[in-house]
Amino acid sequence: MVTYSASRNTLQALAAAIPSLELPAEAHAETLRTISNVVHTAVGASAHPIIDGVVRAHRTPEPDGALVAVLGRPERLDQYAAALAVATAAHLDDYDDTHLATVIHPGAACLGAGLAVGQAQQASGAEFVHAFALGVEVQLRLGLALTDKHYDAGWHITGTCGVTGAAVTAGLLAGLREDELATALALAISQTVGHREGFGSAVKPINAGKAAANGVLSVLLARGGFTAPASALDGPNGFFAVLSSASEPDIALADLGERWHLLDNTYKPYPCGIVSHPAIDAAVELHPELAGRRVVSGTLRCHPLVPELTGNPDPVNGLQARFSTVHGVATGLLDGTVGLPQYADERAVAPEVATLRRAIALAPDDDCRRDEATLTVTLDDGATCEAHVTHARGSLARPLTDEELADKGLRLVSPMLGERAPALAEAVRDLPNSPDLTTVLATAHPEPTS
Amino acid sequence: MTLTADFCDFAADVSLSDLSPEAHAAAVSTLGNALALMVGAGEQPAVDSTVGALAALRGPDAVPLLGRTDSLPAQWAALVHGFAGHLEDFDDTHPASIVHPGPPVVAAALSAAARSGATGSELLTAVAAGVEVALRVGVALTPDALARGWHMTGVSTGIGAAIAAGRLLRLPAKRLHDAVGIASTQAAGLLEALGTMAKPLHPGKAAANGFEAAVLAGNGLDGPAEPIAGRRGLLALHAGQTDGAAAARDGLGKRWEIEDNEIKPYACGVVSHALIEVATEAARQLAGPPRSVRLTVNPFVLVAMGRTDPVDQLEAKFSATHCFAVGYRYGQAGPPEFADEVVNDASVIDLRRRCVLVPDDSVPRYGVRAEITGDDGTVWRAERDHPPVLDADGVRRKATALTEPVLGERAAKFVELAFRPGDWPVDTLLRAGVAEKPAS
Repeated sequence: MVTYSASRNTLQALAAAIPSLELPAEAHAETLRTISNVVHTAVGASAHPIIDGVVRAHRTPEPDGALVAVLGRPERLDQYAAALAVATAAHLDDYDDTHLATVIHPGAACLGAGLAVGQAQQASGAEFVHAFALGVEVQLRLGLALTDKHYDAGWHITGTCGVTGAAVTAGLLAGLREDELATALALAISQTVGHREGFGSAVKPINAGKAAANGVLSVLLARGGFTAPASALDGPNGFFAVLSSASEPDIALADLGERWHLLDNTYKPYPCGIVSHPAIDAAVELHPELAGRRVVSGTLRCHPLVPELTGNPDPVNGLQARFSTVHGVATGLLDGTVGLPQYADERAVAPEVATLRRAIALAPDDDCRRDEATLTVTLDDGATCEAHVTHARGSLARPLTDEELADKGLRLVSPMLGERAPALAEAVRDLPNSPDLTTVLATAHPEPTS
Repeated sequence: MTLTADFCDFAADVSLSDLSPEAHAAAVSTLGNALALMVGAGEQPAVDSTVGALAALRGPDAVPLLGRTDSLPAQWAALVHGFAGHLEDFDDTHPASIVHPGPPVVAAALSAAARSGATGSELLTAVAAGVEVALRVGVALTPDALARGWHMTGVSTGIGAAIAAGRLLRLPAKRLHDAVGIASTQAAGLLEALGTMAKPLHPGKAAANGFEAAVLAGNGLDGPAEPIAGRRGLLALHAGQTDGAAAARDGLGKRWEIEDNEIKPYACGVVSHALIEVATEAARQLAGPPRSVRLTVNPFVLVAMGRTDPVDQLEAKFSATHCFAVGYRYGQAGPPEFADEVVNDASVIDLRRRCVLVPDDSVPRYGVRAEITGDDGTVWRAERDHPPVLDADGVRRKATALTEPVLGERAAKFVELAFRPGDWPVDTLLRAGVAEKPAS
């Protein structure tokens, strides 16, 4: 409704361009990897008490045709609540995906919004994949345009940018007209979520969950005739001006349709903050060399973001342990593998783990890259061992292979799905040829239907 | 103690007898005014659109919508009530922070009270606590958050809504603290939205988010220790400072920010209220339309209300020249003076175009220096430093005028309930405030 006549209108340019963008083969393949990864993390966390709480808060006593399936859960919820539950679960274990340049975890919000609206609209698998990809691409572009000043200030960019991605994914699946899609994006910008203060509590995954849910809400309101500022991105009090001290808005549209930032998405090999990953690689690498000897002290040379983001020296539960690099190092040294069991509440407070955590010192170094670390340990017989990781597993320089991703997925969902676990990856792989989303949802259902 | 813990202890412990007489009167006016606005706006097309958009959503229970014949799940009733209460920009203003606290806090509280079966006086207490916290969050964010481009109501009131809803849902102190954490991370809303439906969505969403945060916390979701004043929390991110925490905490429970909450006499941004008063006076002094109008105002007036050619109701709310024009032409500026027909009336357009806004830092934010030249060349000057305010009787008269077109002769009973919260269940108030279903 409101016209905006500045020289640049990123909002309208995006809304005009997005619906007809075709995915090149490489981008299409990476989108399927992103979807498969977050489908598995969402199912893996779907029975967590936080998701129980979300579902209880939104449960409907008398189910009707307005409800949709919730990936990995037996209940059906409305589109908003289903998006909230699924996206919260997808990000809950901090095991999802990361676009390293922005630190956005883009998959969760698009999965939550896309499955909810995709079901309501009876979208095909191909439509879902397309809408998901563009939701990821738009939020990465907006995140890049905010520059690293945005995340550095303390925003949880997965929420602040995720809501725009969710609105795009949901809006495309809902078949919004170009002007409605612009309105939905503007309404999403009125509903940004995410302070990093919440890290280590349920607020962190809820930021991703609300990004998805608010994206769905934006689409419902836009379709219902809402008006919103056409200048929401570029205006003097718009997204670029307010959410970063150094935005570079031109990045949002640069080479749109040619350069696909979603190709830079990476997948987490360990269920914790990504800055811990090279340190954990080093610990896992050293495990066999210990040969039963006890580590008496250790030093981790690491990027300065390690103490900033994951510096908790003494976590008291699994959620806090995800923000403790020394916990990942300690369990890597002790167990030789780091997965969800290493982030269980019991493991977080195990005395041997706590003792070893206290023996590891962080040595932040400005010359150390984010995906690099050096771990030096002294053993009880006086020997020292060292491991240097140049690029962490799962980094852009050393991406997880399809086999590693499949293995990660199986380990995530097997406790939930048992022998049906391998079928979930197959169902995702078949999405481009699926008439709807029911196979993925039915495969992830905790109680198999005959 | 963290600021968040102080807020939660205050909100959990406070009772009506702790309020100063002025704070008690302000809480009654804030509650009654917000309820009347929700009834009055119930049948607005923008509210129809909102309710229609939310029709696909479900929830554990249904709450009747004030001024309407339908109902929605509690969280979405909170959104609609917060939206409707702010839609006309006729609600309330805390001048120091420019927060409009009434509709979002009252909307969340209504849904929570409906769910828990709370009474009118419990509703009033929760609203007093929630508004007090919202205003103190606003004070802590002032002036930096506004200068950065945040809509103060959007970023301040979700926490107050969570406090009010959490108290009514009888959350223990630890859960109330978690609810504030879940609400705080959702503080949102840019000034860019002024003049569109996204603006009233901000208090609507703050109400829904605050209510939902209380429900999620009640279901076991936790939050951080210091979501408001922490290093990566609300103040640090939206205002770029955490020093405001001291002002937010100062005299909590003894000195009441809610005493300063002012009920709007006119249905538009408060920075133009002095202009309307001056226009009304000028029209009595000068015969016929003025030749020219020179309005010297604080530069913020142009930022917030600088639209010169509004085309519809919501744009006109952000046009100081429209406000002057209707004040001059009609002697008032209630919801009817912002209807699309009036916005596009030739004589109003003509009046708007005779007005010039001149920014000047020396004029107070809520003041004006007016120089109006009549048709015969007579020059009339006026100076105002403060906006006009409504007294308690004026607030009740306003509530009656707002609700009578919707409720008819039932309006008197609704206004009586809204302004005299007692031991009756909130359900009684909701039933009194819904529109009658047309006979089928």
